[in-house]
Order: sequence, then structure tokens, then C-alpha cells
Amino acid sequence: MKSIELKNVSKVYNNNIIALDNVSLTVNQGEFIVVMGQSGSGKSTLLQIAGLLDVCTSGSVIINGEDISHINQNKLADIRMKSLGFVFQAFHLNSHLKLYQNIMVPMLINNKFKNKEEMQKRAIELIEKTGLTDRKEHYPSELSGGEQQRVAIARAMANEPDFILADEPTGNLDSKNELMIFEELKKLSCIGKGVLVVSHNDAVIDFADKIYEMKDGVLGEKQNEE
Amino acid sequence: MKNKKLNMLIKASVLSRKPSVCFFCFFTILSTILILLSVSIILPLRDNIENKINNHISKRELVTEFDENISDDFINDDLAEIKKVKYVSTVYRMPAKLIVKEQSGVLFDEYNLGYLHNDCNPIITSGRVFDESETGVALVPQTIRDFKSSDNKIYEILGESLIGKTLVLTDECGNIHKAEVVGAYSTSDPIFSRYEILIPQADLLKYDEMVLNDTSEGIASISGDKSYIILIDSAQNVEKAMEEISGINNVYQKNIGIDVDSYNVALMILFTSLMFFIIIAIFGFFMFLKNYINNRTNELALYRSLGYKSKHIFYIIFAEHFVFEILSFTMGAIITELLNILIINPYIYTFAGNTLMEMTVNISILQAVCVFLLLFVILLIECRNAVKKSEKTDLTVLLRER
Amino acid sequence: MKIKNINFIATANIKGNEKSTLILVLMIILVISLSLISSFSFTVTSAVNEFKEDYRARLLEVDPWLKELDNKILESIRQVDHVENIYMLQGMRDQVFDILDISDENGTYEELQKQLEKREGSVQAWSLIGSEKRSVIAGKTLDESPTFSCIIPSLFYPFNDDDSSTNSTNQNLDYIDGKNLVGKTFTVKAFGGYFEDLYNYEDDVFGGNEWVYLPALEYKLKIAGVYYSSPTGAGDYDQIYVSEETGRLIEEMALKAAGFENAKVEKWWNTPSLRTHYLLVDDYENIDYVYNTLTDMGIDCAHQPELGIKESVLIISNILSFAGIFIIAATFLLCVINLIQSTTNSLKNRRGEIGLLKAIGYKNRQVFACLCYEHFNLTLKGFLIGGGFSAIFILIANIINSRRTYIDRLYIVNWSDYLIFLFISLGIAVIVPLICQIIALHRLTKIQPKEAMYLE
Repeated sequence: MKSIELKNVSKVYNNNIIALDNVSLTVNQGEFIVVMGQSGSGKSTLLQIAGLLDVCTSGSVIINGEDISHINQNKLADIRMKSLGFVFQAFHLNSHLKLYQNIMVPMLINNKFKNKEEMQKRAIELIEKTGLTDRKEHYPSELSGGEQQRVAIARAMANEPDFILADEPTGNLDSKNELMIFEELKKLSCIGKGVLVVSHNDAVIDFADKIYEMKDGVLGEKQNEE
Repeated sequence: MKNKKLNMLIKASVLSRKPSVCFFCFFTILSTILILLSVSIILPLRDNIENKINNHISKRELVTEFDENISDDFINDDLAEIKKVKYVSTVYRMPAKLIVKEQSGVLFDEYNLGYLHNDCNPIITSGRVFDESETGVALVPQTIRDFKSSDNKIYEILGESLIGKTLVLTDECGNIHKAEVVGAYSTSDPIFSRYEILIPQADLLKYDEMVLNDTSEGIASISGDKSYIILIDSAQNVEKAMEEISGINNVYQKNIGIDVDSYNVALMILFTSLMFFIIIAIFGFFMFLKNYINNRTNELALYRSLGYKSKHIFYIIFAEHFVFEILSFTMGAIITELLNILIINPYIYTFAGNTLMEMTVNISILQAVCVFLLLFVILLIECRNAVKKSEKTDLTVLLRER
Repeated sequence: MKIKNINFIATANIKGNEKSTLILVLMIILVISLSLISSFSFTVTSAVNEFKEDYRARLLEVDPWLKELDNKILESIRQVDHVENIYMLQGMRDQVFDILDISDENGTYEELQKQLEKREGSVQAWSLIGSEKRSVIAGKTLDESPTFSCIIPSLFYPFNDDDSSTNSTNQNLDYIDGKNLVGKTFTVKAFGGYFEDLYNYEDDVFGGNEWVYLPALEYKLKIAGVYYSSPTGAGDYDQIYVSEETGRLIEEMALKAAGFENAKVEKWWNTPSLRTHYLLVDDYENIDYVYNTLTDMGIDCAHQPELGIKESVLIISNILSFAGIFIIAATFLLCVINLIQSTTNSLKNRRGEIGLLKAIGYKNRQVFACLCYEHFNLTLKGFLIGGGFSAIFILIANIINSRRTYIDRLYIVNWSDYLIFLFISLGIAVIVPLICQIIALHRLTKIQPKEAMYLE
């Protein structure tokens, strides 16, 4: 089974601030994992390390059985391209690309796609799943926040990654759109993607398979009270 | 993977930063114009001074004199020896200049009757130059400042207006010499003065003889000594030739009366200033590009988070800037050439046109290519630096609130 | 808002702003390039134009033979186009003096003295006129020296045994390096045993001039400095210059020793309107026009200046000046554009910071004051560092040039010229970004505090 495994990961910044203290976490395929915690608890740091956006001070990160501790930048990039998909709080869509083009961005560097038509086809497939087919020629600025985030999720799925990592995906959205986004992410976990969400929004609890709580850099499992 | 797939991102990037792109183009065009203009002014100036002043004919001439009492045979023997010396191109009799006054009413002041040096090509501003085999012909200065003592006025006479007229010139002994004006020459050549009417050497030698033969006391202001001009093949060989010839007869070099060394130093300082200016321009372009590219940190971090590698990022930045750099450079080069044709060259012509120092400012292909390569290398370095910086960029900037 | 508070924030911002170093470096480069390139190019332009500026190439002798040169006439002459001024000749023009000996505090300068004993030596003395200045490449100028000082050519040849005209065989002459004579004193006496002078007179019909022969007194002239004489250019190697006052004193002493010889001479000396004057034309090329105009006014004027200029010299000077001025202009333009770009860029990148200040409660003018102060701080630092570097460079270049040939000394940068360009560069460094900030002010006012939320 494919998984992201963090084993005894610690992250200490230069000024001796311990962001993560001996954290261990496993995200398997098909799981919807939520990490909650207050601001400054280290949950974003955890996501950054799991998503290979940052390196840990100690411990190991194993993705699909491969320890990435001593891997060079290019290999890391490959892993991010093939295995991971990111959803950011701030969407980070290119305002001068149409929706379907935004979804194509990760595909541009994937040799699996031989030509532009293949990419467009895949992009339109993904847009259809978001329910925004009739808006595919629009620009991000013409969409609502929720719609933009749905496109961002579609972009994250462009290269069919094994895992989706989302950092406060509903941070900029209203409650109605929040639920919609969590539903989208849940659907992904149902189709076999491993989803790791970092959020302080209680609404996510209902969707989670496992809930963890970060406090002062220490990760603890929280019981999901259904 | 084929990089041209990334062109979509480049297009989006350009569209999202239109003002910045315009400013980039403007700055590149301006840098190109300034660098190319500076180079195209200074380099021809250097060539001009090198070829026309440092290698002026008078820098290649030596003069040797023989006392009037020395026999012609002795002189001829010495001259034959001198002609055998390496570097000597030719040896010829140097006529003495006479002071003459024009009698037909065309000119009123006193003038020097001079001659054309061998191998000297005066700049003819109108009419034609005479051949040394001709006789009774003359060249007059392009502009003559004629002082008329009867009304105490200075009249500016254009040499061109005298073409076809016959000057009746009397020397200090009252001998009359007639010469038809066939052309006007530029007095910008330091070997000539504004008060010199040029006639063939043979004619002047004949008139010198007439003056010397005149027995009136205290009139003949020219010496009976015979002077010869020795023309050396190149200015660099003058000293060596002088050394050899001084073993045969006394020899000296006349001054052309302008401070050549001072101008060479001036040119060197300007050249150094130009080099420094180009360095500043390059540095300015480098800083500009650095600022410009560094503003794309977020964008590049996003691409990295999506799995883009360094080569992809390099292509995205480089391709965009390269296209605009080529377009801007080409436009800059065209504008520079237009400036040269429409403004700079006409302006230089107003004070140096039709003179010894006439120069044309234009860009050579080599200069343009060199400047372009310079800008290209800077672009390459800066794109590479940006890629390296993006490798070190904390991708977590993306996770922060916007 | 107090200055020290502004300073506090500005200093903190400078430390926190990673672009500050870049801007500081840009300022340093700007100051160095503007001051250095401009100073050197300007020095070249001045040096090559020195010939054109030479008074002797622009002075026309004006005599009172047709009309007495009273104040009314002088004023009407001054009104003529291209006339800069007209001065009464108080000293000497081309007065020949024999050199009797040359000495210093320690006694006679033996080397030259021995030569003078074997070969006669003489100098042609010219006194400066009006506002004329002569620059020196060694020693002191006449302005900086007491009366009875003189300046001599860098290549000095006072001997009478050869035709030392530069149009002739001057390459084999054993020139004396003028620098070696600075501080020595000439003892001179009028050539030929008497001081020849021309005086003007008036009579019922017309005026004219006559020679008067005054006693040849001995004068001691201390060599204060050396002026540049080109080894290939025009000029005589025995010409010395004295100040106008020195020239006047020499003449006066000779006249008084002769008891003014006769009444006409005394009248001439004491009547300014009978004295020869010299008119200064603004440009060599306007001499003909001025001459013709004065002739039409019925004033006696020479039609040629004392020194002619070769056309080639004018052309080369013009071309080199053009190149020099172009480089200065191009440097200025490039620096200004760079400044505009870096200022605009730095403002753009600080929207969040500005938003934060506004969120805290800063008003627009207070934010503007902080930005300006920050900019002045950086500019001043850049100016001091850049100015220091360029001053050191100029100092080294001047020291090197002063130890090299006389030609190199012509291009010693004048400190006053350098300081002017330095302060111009400061002005540009201050004003251009200020203008950019003022222009950006309208955008600044639109930045909302919520932009602070977008701080990185």
C-alpha cells in the first residue's frame, strides 16, 4: 500500500524554536487524515515536511516506501509531480490562464502527456468533476472563492497523484463552500487517494477518518466522536 | 519533455505583468542605444585620430638641407644615398613659400604661395585638385578671410567663387605669376593654413628661383639653401630612418603645429571613461534584470511545488526575457542607427564635415553583435541565478496567507 | 511626527528591507560613475578647448588713433555683439628682456648660468590682461604669487643662438625642463640696452604712436610656476608671463627713471583714453565680425589676434568636446533611469509594509515621511561611500598624472570641477527618487490596511 510516513520527525529552527518534536504520522491511500491545532502549534510545518516542501532536522520521511532524506532536488520534484498534489489556502491560480489551462499546469512537465490535446482532454475531465464545465473558458477572477478552490483541487489531481495535501483549504471560504470543499476532498479519499488536511475548522471533523491534534509541536491522536 | 509546452505559462506571465514587461523593453532599448551610441562615437574618433593625426603625412616627412654653396653633384650623391635608406618612399625638392599679393582685385590681403606635398591628398571642397604636371593652376582655401586695407574691412570670400578666375600674384620682388583657380581645399588639414594658395611644386620652385636671382638688396626673404623632403613609408619608421639618414646629412622633422600627444591622452581618457560607462551600463542592466526576475519568487515557488525542475524554471524565465531582449535590442539598434543618420552625423558634419577630421558614426555588425552577446550573457547569468535562488526558496511561502 | 521617531522606523526598515543593500550599492555606483566619468570627461573637454579659450587668440588691440577711448566709446564697444569686455593695457606685450643671471637663495643656478655665459639668453615677456588667467602644471599661478613673479614654459629655451620657432627645427634643441627652475629668480634687463615702449598721442588732425626709449633697468623676476608648452604645438619656448600689476610696475619704473621723457609720454601714461586697449571676443570665430563692426564705428582695431588657431585644432577640440559631453549625458541618463526603476520597484514590493503602517494608524503624510527619510538615509550613506571612493580615485589619478609628463598634467582633474559633479550626483540621487515617490504618492494613498494581511 502506498503511504506517506513520517517517523520521529523533528524540526528545529535556527533560533532553537522546536516546531515539530518527534512526530510520527502515517497517511495511507484512501485515508482522510486531519491535523488540527491552534496557530503556532506546528501543523503547517508538519504538512510542509510531509509534502517535501521543507526538510526535517531529524527523523525520516518515507513516501511509498522510499526514504527521501537523501534525495536530490530533482528527484524530490519528480515525487511532488507524480505522487503529491497540493491545495493551498490562497488557491494560487494563475489569473491570466483560463480554468482548464490552470489545471493543465502540472501536466506540462509530465512526460505521460504527449501533446496539448491530451492535457486539455484530461483538464476538461477534471473540470467536469468539479461541475464547472461551462466555466472552463473563464479566468479565476471571474469565479467565487469556492469555485476557485475546486479548480485548485482539480489541479492538484492533474497528474493523478497518490496523495493530496491541503493546508487550510477553507481558510478563505464561507461555511457553505467549506463543506463543499471538504466533500470534494472526501470524494478523493473514497477513490483511493490519501488526503492529509491541516485545518483548525471543526467542520472537517465529520469527514475525517483520523484526527490528530498538534500542540506545541507534539502530535497526538484525537478520538473522532461521531 | 518539450519545453514549448511551457509557452502557455510564459504568455500568461507576460500578460500578467504588462507594465513591467514594457519597462523591461524600454530599459533594454535605452541601454542598447546608449551603449551602441557611445561605442559608435568613440571608436571612429579613435580611428580618426590614429589615422589622420598620428599618421599624418607631416609625421612621415623629414627635411634635409644643403647649403647654397654646395655643388649639385654632391647634393645628388647624398640624395641618392638617402633614397637607398630603408623606409624612404621618395625624396623631392622642398620649395620655399613665397608671400604674394593679388593684383587683379580679387583678393586684397597678403597670402602664402604654397605647394602640395607628395602623397598628400587635400580635401577638395569644390572644383578639382591639380596634377603636379600642370602649370599655372592653383587651389585656394575653402573660406578666405581677406583683409582689405583700403576700407579696413575683413571680407569672407568663398574659395568656390574664385574657381575659374585667374589670380595675378606678385611676390616681394615684384615678379608677376598667374594661376587659374581650379579648386578649393579644406584648411582643416594642419599642414595648410588659411592664408595659403597652393600651386604645383614645379611652379613654386620656378618662382623661388626668380626671387633668388633678383639682386635687389634686402628683399629676398627666402634662403638660397636647398631643402629636400624625405617621405618615410610609415610614421612608426621615422625615428629609425632619421637615425640612418643623419649619418648622411643633417635631418630634422617639422612640426605640424598641433599638440598630437595631448589629443592622444585626451582620447585615452575618453576611451577609459567609455569603458567605465559600459561597465556601469552593464551593471545597471544586471541590477535591473535582477530586480525584475526576483519579483517572481512566488510564481517560481508554485512551479517548484508542482514538481517543476530547474530546467523548466530556467526555460520559463529565460525564454520570456530572451524574446523581449532580442526584440528590444533590435529596436534599440534601429533607433541608434536612425539617431546616427538623422541627428548625430548631421551634427558632426556641421563642424567636421568636409574637413580632415570628417567622421561618420555608425554601428558595425560586429559592435552590435558584441553588445548583444554582452546583454545575452547577463541574461543567462541572471536567469541561472534566479533558478538557483528558487532552489533555495522556502516553498512554504506558498502556504502563507495571501 | 518627530524626526527621531521617523529615524527610528526608517532605520528599522532599512535593516529589515533586503533591497536596502541593493539600493545602497546602486547609490554608491551612481555617485562614483557620475562624479568620476563626468569629472574626467569635463577635464578633457576643458583641456582641449583651452586653445580656443586662450586670451591671446581672442584679444584684439584697440588704439585711440581714430577716436579717443573714453568711457562712452568703451561702453559702446562693450555693447557690440560677441564682445566680452575691453581692458586697458597696463603692462607689456611681447617685451624682450635679456637674462643676466639666474639665481636662488643659495646663489646662482650654476648649470643655466654657465650656459648663459656662453650663449645669450632672452625671454619675451607678456603681462596678463584684465581677467586673463594662466593655468600652471607645476608651481603656483600668478594669482597665487606676489608681484615680480613669472611663469615659464614647461619646455624652456631662452637661448638666442637658433631659430627656436616651432615651425622649424626644434626637435634637436636642448630644452630646459621648466619645473627645475621653479623657485629660482631671473635677473633681466631690457633687450638692446633700452626699454622700448610705444606710446599713443593725439594731435589736431589725427592720433598715432611713437617709440620712446626708456632706460633699461634690471628687474628680478621669481619663477613661480610652469605653464604647459606643447612639444609639437605652436608657441615659443622663451615666452614668460607676468601679472598685470608686475607689467605695470615694470613700465612705470622705466618711465619714472626716464622722467617720462616728454610731456606727451606723461600725458599718455596718465590718460586712460589715450592708452591702448585690448578687446576680448567671446569666440575666436567671431573676430572678423567684431573687427568689421568696430571699423564701421570708426574705431581703430587690429584685424588679427596675437595668436592664431589652426582650424584643425578647432575641429579636433570640437569633436573631443562632443564625445566628452555625450558620455557625461549618457551617464546621467542611465543613472537616472536606474534610480527610477529601483525606487519604483522598491515601493511596489512594500505594499504590505505600507498597509501595516496604515493599519496601525499612520497617515499618508507620515508614511511618506518615513519612506523619504529612509531614502535620504540610504542616499547619504551611498553619497559618502561613493564620494569617498571617487575622491580617492581622483586623488590617485591626479598624483600619478602630476608625476608623469607635462601632457598628462593637463588632465589633472580640478577639485572644484569634481566637487560640482559630486554634488550634482547627490542632487540627482536625492531628487529623482523623491520625484518618483511623489508620483507614486497617489498609489500610496490607495493602499489599504488590509494589504498588511498579505505581508510575507
